[in-house]
Amino acid sequence: MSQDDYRGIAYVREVYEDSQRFAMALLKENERLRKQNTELQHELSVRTAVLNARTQGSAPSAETEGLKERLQSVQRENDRLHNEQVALQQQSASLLNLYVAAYRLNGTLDRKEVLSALEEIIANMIGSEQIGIFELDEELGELTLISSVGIDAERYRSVPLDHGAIGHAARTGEIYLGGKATAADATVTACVPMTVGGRVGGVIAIFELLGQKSGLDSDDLELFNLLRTHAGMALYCTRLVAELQRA
Amino acid sequence: MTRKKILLVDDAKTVLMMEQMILNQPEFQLITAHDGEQAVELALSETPDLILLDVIMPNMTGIEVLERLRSEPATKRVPIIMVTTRSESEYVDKARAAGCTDYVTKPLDAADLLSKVRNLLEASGGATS
Repeated sequence: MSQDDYRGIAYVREVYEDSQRFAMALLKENERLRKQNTELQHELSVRTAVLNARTQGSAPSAETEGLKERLQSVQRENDRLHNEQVALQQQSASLLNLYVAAYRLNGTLDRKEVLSALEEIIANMIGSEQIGIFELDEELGELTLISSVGIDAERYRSVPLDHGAIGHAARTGEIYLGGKATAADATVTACVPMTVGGRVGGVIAIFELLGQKSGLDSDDLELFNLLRTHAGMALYCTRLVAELQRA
Repeated sequence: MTRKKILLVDDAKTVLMMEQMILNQPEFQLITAHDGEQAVELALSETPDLILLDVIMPNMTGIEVLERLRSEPATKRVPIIMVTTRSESEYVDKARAAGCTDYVTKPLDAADLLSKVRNLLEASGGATS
Protein backbone atom coordinates (compact mmCIF):
# COMPACT_ATOMS: atom_id res chain seq x y z
CA MET A 1 0.00 0.00 0.00
CA SER A 2 1.08 3.56 -0.68
CA GLN A 3 1.49 6.38 1.83
CA ASP A 4 -1.83 7.78 0.61
CA ASP A 5 -3.53 4.47 1.37
CA TYR A 6 -2.17 4.46 4.93
CA ARG A 7 -3.29 8.07 5.32
CA GLY A 8 -6.74 7.02 4.06
CA ILE A 9 -7.02 4.22 6.60
CA ALA A 10 -5.86 6.48 9.42
CA TYR A 11 -8.39 9.10 8.35
CA VAL A 12 -11.22 6.56 8.28
CA ARG A 13 -10.22 5.29 11.73
CA GLU A 14 -10.03 8.84 13.07
CA VAL A 15 -13.47 9.72 11.70
CA TYR A 16 -14.89 6.47 13.02
CA GLU A 17 -13.46 7.09 16.50
CA ASP A 18 -14.68 10.71 16.48
CA SER A 19 -18.15 9.50 15.62
CA GLN A 20 -18.09 6.89 18.38
CA ARG A 21 -17.02 9.58 20.87
CA PHE A 22 -19.87 11.81 19.71
CA ALA A 23 -22.32 8.93 20.12
CA MET A 24 -21.05 8.22 23.65
CA ALA A 25 -21.39 11.90 24.58
CA LEU A 26 -25.01 11.81 23.39
CA LEU A 27 -25.65 8.70 25.47
CA LYS A 28 -24.22 10.33 28.60
CA GLU A 29 -26.42 13.39 28.08
CA ASN A 30 -29.40 11.10 27.62
CA GLU A 31 -28.63 9.34 30.91
CA ARG A 32 -28.26 12.66 32.72
CA LEU A 33 -31.65 13.84 31.45
CA ARG A 34 -33.26 10.55 32.41
CA LYS A 35 -31.93 10.86 35.99
CA GLN A 36 -33.11 14.46 36.24
CA ASN A 37 -36.50 13.33 34.99
CA THR A 38 -36.76 10.63 37.68
CA GLU A 39 -35.81 13.14 40.39
CA LEU A 40 -38.50 15.55 39.23
CA GLN A 41 -41.11 12.81 39.22
CA HIS A 42 -40.12 11.81 42.76
CA GLU A 43 -40.30 15.39 43.99
CA LEU A 44 -43.75 15.76 42.48
CA SER A 45 -45.14 12.65 44.16
CA VAL A 46 -43.62 13.53 47.58
CA ARG A 47 -45.07 17.02 47.51
CA THR A 48 -48.50 15.75 46.54
CA ALA A 49 -48.47 13.11 49.31
CA VAL A 50 -47.42 15.67 51.95
CA LEU A 51 -50.14 18.09 50.92
CA ASN A 52 -52.81 15.42 50.87
CA ALA A 53 -51.83 14.32 54.37
CA ARG A 54 -51.90 17.89 55.69
CA THR A 55 -55.33 18.77 54.30
CA GLN A 56 -57.06 15.64 55.64
CA GLY A 57 -59.36 16.04 58.67
CA SER A 58 -60.57 19.65 58.48
CA ALA A 59 -58.23 21.99 60.33
CA PRO A 60 -59.27 25.32 61.96
CA SER A 61 -60.20 27.84 59.28
CA ALA A 62 -57.17 30.15 59.62
CA GLU A 63 -54.86 27.21 59.28
CA THR A 64 -56.99 25.85 56.42
CA GLU A 65 -56.69 29.15 54.60
CA GLY A 66 -52.96 29.10 55.06
CA LEU A 67 -52.77 25.57 53.81
CA LYS A 68 -54.95 26.44 50.82
CA GLU A 69 -52.58 29.22 49.85
CA ARG A 70 -49.66 26.93 50.34
CA LEU A 71 -51.43 24.25 48.28
CA GLN A 72 -52.04 26.70 45.44
CA SER A 73 -48.44 27.77 45.54
CA VAL A 74 -47.22 24.18 45.50
CA GLN A 75 -49.67 23.35 42.70
CA ARG A 76 -48.22 26.17 40.62
CA GLU A 77 -44.76 24.83 41.34
CA ASN A 78 -45.97 21.32 40.46
CA ASP A 79 -47.32 22.61 37.13
CA ARG A 80 -43.98 24.22 36.43
CA LEU A 81 -42.13 21.02 37.30
CA HIS A 82 -44.56 18.98 35.20
CA ASN A 83 -43.95 21.21 32.18
CA GLU A 84 -40.23 20.94 32.78
CA GLN A 85 -40.53 17.17 33.02
CA VAL A 86 -42.45 16.98 29.72
CA ALA A 87 -39.80 19.14 28.07
CA LEU A 88 -37.05 16.90 29.50
CA GLN A 89 -38.82 13.78 28.27
CA GLN A 90 -39.02 15.27 24.79
CA GLN A 91 -35.37 16.28 24.90
CA SER A 92 -34.41 12.85 26.17
CA ALA A 93 -36.39 11.12 23.39
CA SER A 94 -34.75 13.38 20.82
CA LEU A 95 -31.28 12.59 22.19
CA LEU A 96 -32.09 8.90 22.15
CA ASN A 97 -32.97 9.15 18.46
CA LEU A 98 -29.78 11.08 17.72
CA TYR A 99 -27.68 8.56 19.60
CA VAL A 100 -29.24 5.54 17.88
CA ALA A 101 -28.94 7.22 14.46
CA ALA A 102 -25.26 8.12 15.02
CA TYR A 103 -24.51 4.65 16.37
CA ARG A 104 -26.21 2.87 13.49
CA LEU A 105 -24.55 5.01 10.81
CA ASN A 106 -21.08 4.77 12.30
CA GLY A 107 -21.26 1.21 13.53
CA THR A 108 -20.32 -0.32 10.20
CA LEU A 109 -18.08 0.19 7.17
CA ASP A 110 -20.35 -1.90 4.95
CA ARG A 111 -22.11 0.20 2.31
CA LYS A 112 -25.30 -1.89 2.19
CA GLU A 113 -25.57 -1.80 5.96
CA VAL A 114 -25.17 2.01 6.02
CA LEU A 115 -27.87 2.45 3.36
CA SER A 116 -30.17 0.06 5.20
CA ALA A 117 -29.55 1.90 8.50
CA LEU A 118 -30.31 5.21 6.78
CA GLU A 119 -33.64 3.91 5.46
CA GLU A 120 -34.55 2.48 8.86
CA ILE A 121 -33.72 5.81 10.54
CA ILE A 122 -35.95 7.77 8.15
CA ALA A 123 -38.78 5.24 8.38
CA ASN A 124 -38.74 4.85 12.15
CA MET A 125 -37.64 8.25 13.42
CA ILE A 126 -38.93 10.68 10.79
CA GLY A 127 -41.92 8.57 9.76
CA SER A 128 -41.72 8.09 5.99
CA GLU A 129 -41.63 5.00 3.83
CA GLN A 130 -40.93 6.91 0.62
CA ILE A 131 -37.23 7.60 0.49
CA GLY A 132 -34.61 8.21 -2.20
CA ILE A 133 -30.88 8.28 -1.48
CA PHE A 134 -28.78 9.96 -4.15
CA GLU A 135 -25.05 10.23 -4.72
CA LEU A 136 -23.46 13.09 -6.62
CA ASP A 137 -21.74 12.21 -9.88
CA GLU A 138 -19.45 15.20 -10.29
CA GLU A 139 -18.38 14.27 -13.83
CA LEU A 140 -21.94 14.07 -15.12
CA GLY A 141 -23.15 16.90 -12.89
CA GLU A 142 -26.16 14.93 -11.71
CA LEU A 143 -27.43 12.90 -8.78
CA THR A 144 -27.70 9.13 -9.12
CA LEU A 145 -30.24 7.14 -7.12
CA ILE A 146 -28.32 4.54 -5.10
CA SER A 147 -31.11 3.26 -2.87
CA SER A 148 -34.83 3.80 -2.55
CA VAL A 149 -37.98 2.70 -0.75
CA GLY A 150 -41.57 3.19 -1.88
CA ILE A 151 -40.88 5.49 -4.86
CA ASP A 152 -40.71 5.01 -8.63
CA ALA A 153 -36.98 4.25 -8.85
CA GLU A 154 -36.92 4.57 -12.65
CA ARG A 155 -38.37 8.08 -12.48
CA TYR A 156 -35.68 9.21 -10.06
CA ARG A 157 -32.81 7.14 -11.52
CA SER A 158 -30.84 10.35 -12.15
CA VAL A 159 -31.69 13.90 -11.17
CA PRO A 160 -29.95 16.91 -12.78
CA LEU A 161 -28.54 19.44 -10.32
CA ASP A 162 -30.80 22.18 -11.71
CA HIS A 163 -33.91 20.07 -11.15
CA GLY A 164 -36.36 20.73 -8.30
CA ALA A 165 -35.84 20.48 -4.58
CA ILE A 166 -33.44 17.53 -4.76
CA GLY A 167 -31.10 19.37 -7.14
CA HIS A 168 -31.46 22.54 -5.08
CA ALA A 169 -30.32 20.77 -1.90
CA ALA A 170 -27.28 19.40 -3.73
CA ARG A 171 -26.40 22.77 -5.29
CA THR A 172 -26.77 24.86 -2.15
CA GLY A 173 -25.89 22.35 0.57
CA GLU A 174 -28.97 23.53 2.47
CA ILE A 175 -31.69 21.35 3.95
CA TYR A 176 -34.88 21.80 1.94
CA LEU A 177 -38.19 21.69 3.82
CA GLY A 178 -41.42 21.55 1.85
CA GLY A 179 -44.99 21.23 3.07
CA LYS A 180 -46.51 17.85 3.80
CA ALA A 181 -46.35 16.02 0.45
CA THR A 182 -49.30 14.03 -0.83
CA ALA A 183 -49.25 10.99 -3.09
CA ALA A 184 -50.92 13.05 -5.83
CA ASP A 185 -48.30 15.75 -6.26
CA ALA A 186 -45.38 13.44 -5.39
CA THR A 187 -43.37 16.40 -4.19
CA VAL A 188 -40.73 15.96 -1.55
CA THR A 189 -41.30 16.75 2.11
CA ALA A 190 -37.61 17.29 2.80
CA CYS A 191 -34.21 17.02 1.13
CA VAL A 192 -31.10 16.61 3.24
CA PRO A 193 -27.74 17.16 1.55
CA MET A 194 -25.05 14.74 2.73
CA THR A 195 -21.75 16.55 3.18
CA VAL A 196 -18.14 15.60 3.77
CA GLY A 197 -15.83 18.40 4.80
CA GLY A 198 -18.41 20.96 3.68
CA ARG A 199 -18.77 19.48 0.19
CA VAL A 200 -22.04 17.89 -0.90
CA GLY A 201 -21.65 14.22 -1.83
CA GLY A 202 -25.31 13.29 -2.12
CA VAL A 203 -28.89 13.97 -1.05
CA ILE A 204 -31.52 12.14 0.98
CA ALA A 205 -35.00 12.88 -0.38
CA ILE A 206 -37.98 12.20 1.86
CA PHE A 207 -41.32 12.09 0.09
CA GLU A 208 -44.71 11.41 1.69
CA LEU A 209 -44.89 11.15 5.48
CA LEU A 210 -46.85 8.40 7.23
CA GLY A 211 -50.51 9.18 7.88
CA GLN A 212 -50.10 9.59 11.63
CA LYS A 213 -47.30 12.14 11.20
CA SER A 214 -48.79 15.61 10.81
CA GLY A 215 -45.56 17.33 9.78
CA LEU A 216 -41.93 17.86 10.61
CA ASP A 217 -40.94 19.25 14.01
CA SER A 218 -37.80 20.60 15.66
CA ASP A 219 -36.63 17.08 16.60
CA ASP A 220 -36.77 16.08 12.94
CA LEU A 221 -34.61 19.08 12.09
CA GLU A 222 -32.06 18.02 14.71
CA LEU A 223 -31.97 14.59 13.11
CA PHE A 224 -31.60 16.11 9.62
CA ASN A 225 -28.61 18.10 10.85
CA LEU A 226 -27.03 14.92 12.18
CA LEU A 227 -27.75 13.03 8.95
CA ARG A 228 -26.27 15.87 6.89
CA THR A 229 -22.79 15.18 8.24
CA HIS A 230 -22.91 11.63 9.60
CA ALA A 231 -24.68 9.96 6.67
CA GLY A 232 -22.36 11.65 4.19
CA MET A 233 -19.29 10.66 6.18
CA ALA A 234 -20.51 7.09 6.73
CA LEU A 235 -21.07 6.58 2.99
CA TYR A 236 -17.77 8.26 2.17
CA CYS A 237 -15.94 5.92 4.57
CA THR A 238 -17.53 2.83 3.02
CA ARG A 239 -16.35 4.04 -0.42
CA LEU A 240 -12.82 4.63 0.87
CA VAL A 241 -12.67 1.20 2.46
CA ALA A 242 -13.97 -0.45 -0.72
CA GLU A 243 -11.34 1.40 -2.79
CA LEU A 244 -8.57 0.40 -0.37
CA GLN A 245 -9.70 -3.22 -0.46
CA ARG A 246 -9.68 -3.20 -4.25
CA ALA A 247 -6.18 -1.65 -4.36
CA MET B 1 -37.86 -7.20 42.90
CA THR B 2 -38.78 -9.70 40.20
CA ARG B 3 -37.69 -8.50 36.82
CA LYS B 4 -40.27 -8.72 34.07
CA LYS B 5 -39.09 -10.41 30.92
CA ILE B 6 -39.93 -8.56 27.70
CA LEU B 7 -39.44 -10.02 24.22
CA LEU B 8 -38.74 -7.39 21.54
CA VAL B 9 -39.33 -8.51 17.96
CA ASP B 10 -38.32 -6.49 14.89
CA ASP B 11 -36.31 -7.16 11.74
CA ALA B 12 -34.95 -3.58 11.79
CA LYS B 13 -31.85 -3.22 13.99
CA THR B 14 -32.56 0.48 14.44
CA VAL B 15 -35.98 -0.20 15.95
CA LEU B 16 -34.68 -2.94 18.24
CA MET B 17 -31.99 -0.60 19.49
CA MET B 18 -34.52 2.20 20.11
CA GLU B 19 -36.82 -0.17 21.99
CA GLN B 20 -33.91 -1.52 24.04
CA MET B 21 -32.89 1.99 25.06
CA ILE B 22 -36.44 3.11 25.90
CA LEU B 23 -37.10 -0.01 27.98
CA ASN B 24 -33.64 -0.12 29.56
CA GLN B 25 -35.07 -0.02 33.11
CA PRO B 26 -33.94 -1.96 36.20
CA GLU B 27 -37.30 -3.75 36.46
CA PHE B 28 -37.13 -5.19 32.94
CA GLN B 29 -35.10 -8.00 31.42
CA LEU B 30 -34.99 -7.64 27.63
CA ILE B 31 -34.59 -10.37 25.03
CA THR B 32 -34.69 -9.82 21.27
CA ALA B 33 -35.73 -11.66 18.13
CA HIS B 34 -34.97 -10.56 14.57
CA ASP B 35 -37.74 -12.41 12.75
CA GLY B 36 -41.06 -14.14 13.27
CA GLU B 37 -39.76 -17.67 13.53
CA GLN B 38 -37.18 -16.73 16.17
CA ALA B 39 -39.92 -14.81 17.99
CA VAL B 40 -42.17 -17.88 18.24
CA GLU B 41 -39.23 -20.01 19.36
CA LEU B 42 -38.17 -17.55 22.08
CA ALA B 43 -41.72 -16.84 23.20
CA LEU B 44 -42.30 -20.55 23.80
CA SER B 45 -38.94 -21.30 25.42
CA GLU B 46 -38.54 -18.11 27.51
CA THR B 47 -42.23 -17.41 28.30
CA PRO B 48 -41.85 -13.62 28.50
CA ASP B 49 -44.20 -11.43 30.56
CA LEU B 50 -44.84 -9.15 27.58
CA ILE B 51 -44.07 -9.11 23.86
CA LEU B 52 -43.47 -6.10 21.65
CA LEU B 53 -44.12 -7.32 18.11
CA ASP B 54 -43.48 -5.64 14.75
CA VAL B 55 -46.21 -6.17 12.15
CA ILE B 56 -44.26 -6.09 8.90
CA MET B 57 -41.48 -8.70 8.82
CA PRO B 58 -40.19 -10.98 6.08
CA ASN B 59 -41.10 -14.72 6.02
CA MET B 60 -43.49 -14.64 8.96
CA THR B 61 -45.47 -11.45 9.64
CA GLY B 62 -46.28 -10.12 13.08
CA ILE B 63 -49.95 -11.06 12.60
CA GLU B 64 -48.96 -14.67 11.83
CA VAL B 65 -46.71 -14.74 14.91
CA LEU B 66 -49.57 -13.34 16.98
CA GLU B 67 -52.03 -15.98 15.72
CA ARG B 68 -49.52 -18.74 16.43
CA LEU B 69 -48.80 -17.50 19.96
CA ARG B 70 -52.49 -17.16 20.77
CA SER B 71 -52.98 -20.80 19.80
CA GLU B 72 -50.34 -21.98 22.29
CA PRO B 73 -51.38 -22.47 25.95
CA ALA B 74 -48.08 -20.99 27.24
CA THR B 75 -48.49 -17.70 25.38
CA LYS B 76 -52.26 -17.48 25.05
CA ARG B 77 -52.58 -14.73 27.67
CA VAL B 78 -49.22 -12.96 27.41
CA PRO B 79 -49.81 -9.23 26.72
CA ILE B 80 -48.69 -8.44 23.16
CA ILE B 81 -48.19 -4.88 21.91
CA MET B 82 -48.07 -4.62 18.13
CA VAL B 83 -45.73 -2.04 16.60
CA THR B 84 -47.38 -0.77 13.44
CA THR B 85 -46.25 1.61 10.76
CA ARG B 86 -49.80 2.29 9.66
CA SER B 87 -52.33 3.64 12.12
CA GLU B 88 -55.23 3.08 9.70
CA SER B 89 -58.09 1.16 11.25
CA GLU B 90 -57.83 -1.85 8.92
CA TYR B 91 -54.34 -2.70 10.26
CA VAL B 92 -55.33 -2.09 13.84
CA ASP B 93 -58.56 -4.10 13.44
CA LYS B 94 -56.62 -6.98 11.91
CA ALA B 95 -54.19 -7.03 14.85
CA ARG B 96 -57.02 -6.75 17.38
CA ALA B 97 -58.92 -9.60 15.70
CA ALA B 98 -55.78 -11.76 15.89
CA GLY B 99 -55.59 -11.13 19.64
CA CYS B 100 -53.17 -8.26 20.25
CA THR B 101 -53.54 -6.49 23.59
CA ASP B 102 -52.55 -3.00 22.46
CA TYR B 103 -50.61 -1.26 19.69
CA VAL B 104 -48.15 1.60 19.16
CA THR B 105 -47.37 3.37 15.91
CA LYS B 106 -44.06 4.43 14.42
CA PRO B 107 -42.27 6.77 14.90
CA LEU B 108 -42.16 5.43 18.45
CA ASP B 109 -43.10 7.79 21.29
CA ALA B 110 -40.78 6.80 24.15
CA ALA B 111 -43.03 8.00 26.98
CA ASP B 112 -46.13 6.40 25.44
CA LEU B 113 -44.39 3.06 24.90
CA LEU B 114 -42.94 2.93 28.43
CA SER B 115 -46.29 3.82 29.95
CA LYS B 116 -48.16 1.16 27.93
CA VAL B 117 -45.62 -1.50 28.84
CA ARG B 118 -45.77 -0.65 32.56
CA ASN B 119 -49.57 -0.51 32.61
CA LEU B 120 -49.95 -3.86 30.86
CA LEU B 121 -47.40 -5.55 33.10
CA GLU B 122 -49.10 -4.19 36.21
CA ALA B 123 -52.50 -5.27 34.96
CA SER B 124 -51.28 -8.74 34.11
CA GLY B 125 -49.25 -9.56 37.17
CA GLY B 126 -48.73 -6.92 39.83
CA ALA B 127 -46.43 -3.94 40.18
CA THR B 128 -43.25 -3.77 38.18
CA SER B 129 -41.22 -1.59 40.45
